Amino acid sequence: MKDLGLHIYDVVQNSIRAEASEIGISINEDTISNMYSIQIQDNGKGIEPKKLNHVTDAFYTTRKTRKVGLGLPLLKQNAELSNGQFEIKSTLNKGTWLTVTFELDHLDRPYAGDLVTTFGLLITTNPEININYSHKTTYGEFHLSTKNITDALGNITINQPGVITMIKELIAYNLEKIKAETTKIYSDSSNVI
Amino acid sequence: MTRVKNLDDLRKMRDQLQSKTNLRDKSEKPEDMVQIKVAMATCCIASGSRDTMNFFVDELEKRNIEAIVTQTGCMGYCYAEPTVEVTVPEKEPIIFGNVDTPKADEIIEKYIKGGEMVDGIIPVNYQKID
Ligand SMILES: Nc1ncnc2c1ncn2[C@@H]1O[C@H](COP(=O)(O)OP(=O)(O)OP(=O)(O)O)[C@@H](O)[C@H]1O
Ligand SMILES: [Mg+2]
Repeated sequence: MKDLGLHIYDVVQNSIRAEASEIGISINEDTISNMYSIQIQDNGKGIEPKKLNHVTDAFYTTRKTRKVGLGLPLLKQNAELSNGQFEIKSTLNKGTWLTVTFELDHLDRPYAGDLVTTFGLLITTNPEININYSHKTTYGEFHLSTKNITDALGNITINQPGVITMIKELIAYNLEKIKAETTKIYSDSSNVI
Repeated sequence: MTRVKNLDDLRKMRDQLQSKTNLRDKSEKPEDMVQIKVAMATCCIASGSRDTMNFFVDELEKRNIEAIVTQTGCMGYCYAEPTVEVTVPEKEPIIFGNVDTPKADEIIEKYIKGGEMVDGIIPVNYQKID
């Protein structure tokens, strides 16, 4: 997996598949402790304790267990390669919580990637899920949730024409403002409407 | 055009959004719309399916085609990721493999808009594996 934006997008797919109605994602770029941390939690159906121990070691097993998947093992591996940590907790029928950290200036830390696409797409293509995104840097904080957006839109729905572009623009503007690490900056809105 | 910087700006855009919506013939029924499902397992995402999905969402909106774009589980064609299932109203679903951005553009222009066949169809006995 190339970057953190793709990892986040991937891990959130697990929460969607677990039928979560609330998904929280917090990113903290902490220059003081030299740490990039990502926390993802959901209220989906959870993982049974027996299975929880295995979700991250699938990478080392052979094809038969491939069913267990690659998403979490790859994320854990990337965290450990950059001197970070991976932790997951889950309660059956309550939800799942995971935190992954990376040493901020470690050479092997994957770049943040295109967070505008990750969050823009997650929010606009899953309108039935309340996605709660917060992002903190030394320069400030940004919070956005599906609920905030639907409240602002009134009777316009998230998947109506034009809305997607505006939401991405909003995310891009605010990430820029707090100098968050991200690839794509949408400064051109000339073809929005 | 002003830039949407916060939720207040978004609120102010409501009227414009409303009028843009009204320009379209609105069909409420999903079966009247183009449906696109993008396979979204880890291996798909690593091979570019997030950006393929993003392209479909952005471009269908820009080209004024009413569509529902969703993610789905692994379709089992790992050799041909990103894979995408496209259903045009009144036609059978078709699965395309190796759908990068240029391929997605071709699918929109030729298959969805033009009704022509394009390369890259995965022949099915299609069974959904989720
Ligand atoms: N948020 C979650 N809620 C419930 N179960 C989860 C969650 N995250 C992971 N799991 C469980 O852990 C397993 C392993 O997850 P992982 O992301 O590593 O692989 P996968 O999703 O099965 O496949 P892949 O990621 O390769 O597409 C999942 O199959 C699922 O059973
Ligand atoms: Mg997964």
